Amino acid sequence: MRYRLRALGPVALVLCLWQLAMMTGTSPTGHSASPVQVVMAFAELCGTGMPPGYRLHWHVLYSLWRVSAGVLLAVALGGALGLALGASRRLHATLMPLVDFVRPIPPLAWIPVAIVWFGIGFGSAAFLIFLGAFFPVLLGTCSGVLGVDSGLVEAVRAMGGGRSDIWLKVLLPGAMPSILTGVRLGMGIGWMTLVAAEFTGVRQGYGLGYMIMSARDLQRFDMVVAGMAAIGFTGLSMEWTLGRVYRRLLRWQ
Amino acid sequence: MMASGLSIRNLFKEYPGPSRSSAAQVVLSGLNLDVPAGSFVSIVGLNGSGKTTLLRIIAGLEPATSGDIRINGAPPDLSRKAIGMVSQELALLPWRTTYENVALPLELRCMGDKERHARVMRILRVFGLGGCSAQYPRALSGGMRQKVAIARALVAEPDMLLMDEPFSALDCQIRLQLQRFLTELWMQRRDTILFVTHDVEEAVVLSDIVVVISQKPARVIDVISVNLPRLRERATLPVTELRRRVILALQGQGVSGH
Repeated sequence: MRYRLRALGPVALVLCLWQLAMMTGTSPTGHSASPVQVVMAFAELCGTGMPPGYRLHWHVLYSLWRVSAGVLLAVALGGALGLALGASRRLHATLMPLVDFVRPIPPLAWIPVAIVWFGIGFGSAAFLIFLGAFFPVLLGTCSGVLGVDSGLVEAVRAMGGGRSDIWLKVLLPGAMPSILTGVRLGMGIGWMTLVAAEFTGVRQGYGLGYMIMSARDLQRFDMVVAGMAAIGFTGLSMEWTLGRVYRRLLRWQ
Repeated sequence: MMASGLSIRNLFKEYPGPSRSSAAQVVLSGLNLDVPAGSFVSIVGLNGSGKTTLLRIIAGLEPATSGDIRINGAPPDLSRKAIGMVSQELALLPWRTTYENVALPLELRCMGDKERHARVMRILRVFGLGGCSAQYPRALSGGMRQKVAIARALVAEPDMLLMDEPFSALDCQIRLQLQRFLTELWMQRRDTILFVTHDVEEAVVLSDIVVVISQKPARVIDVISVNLPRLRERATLPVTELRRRVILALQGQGVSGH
């Protein structure tokens, strides 16, 4: 708790400097917004909404839903493939070149493909977020399994443990720190992909990315910044919530 | 008559050479060994003499090339869980507490919760580990960790206990303490123990029988009975004499082996 309070210091400092810069006219108004304006825009987003009638909490919920769906899918598929690649040297040698080929292609470059495949809507947004989160989860899981001490596997084998015992009692818990790091990174990239995914991939009127783009179209820079802050807060609270889970799973470290 | 304890006859182990044309590497060549039930037998050999390979074969982790191994009359088989094993490599699972690590072999046997708990608590008490049962290995000293590893190996009451240099990575002081602890434990329980070490004194102080094996390909070069009362002091004359005999056996093969 004290650590979180301490984190407020830098935040307050940045806000003060920002406000000061706006009030002394160091930064041209009209193309940027002061913290106070942003807070007011935030209130307006909560009350009236952007576009009017589309209120902030719905934007947050829709985005959360898309990010969660994309990341969960990435954890399921990336995790499964990562376990397989970590366990089988032959599979690793066969598939890793393909993985390394697809990996550097940015999720944004997939937008046209996503729209063709999934149409405009939830499917393509979730797909783009999935693409962003998939590879960190995959690599984290794979290297986690590879990094498990082979002596531990032998120990369980010597005690009469079978294949499933080795997976459930050694490889999975042993790989867990690395898997969770992959999930964390994946979630971060998932949020980063969100705005772009919702920018082009959504026509429903909800989503933080969509909200930011609507605000931009109306020259409401204060609302753009408030939307950015909303993404930051949502990501942060997700991280803090999951942080508890992580710490519980990794208590032994 | 069914022999009880461990009996090994004419055991061979070869690894194929690095390429198809190169010669196979012979690790064990015609090794014979007996560990009577309830006795403490040590194997002493220079590093790289195939001691670990031998233990892995007895444990059923690796197949032998040929030869016969019987543990209480039956061949080695992982699924029978007749063996408890302790070594530096077969470490504790870092994400399990002392209690959970010791419970692991019983979990793998799908033992019921109630009996499992009773057995784990009993052995933790015998080992004096009750106080650290909720601690993770990270929080334990090296000596404590080895104690937990021994408890884990014995909790399922195996037919025999294999120990591969279990104390060699520990500080001298701790090593002496654990040797004493192991002797006292053995005097109480009379487990059948096969103990591999390159520390000659350790072998003499701990065991009923010291088996000296040659360098690769390993075979038995001397079998020395230690008929001294326990607990044994290290710096006493009988221990020193036996120690010298083991060292001479080791050196003798070293000279004639080349």
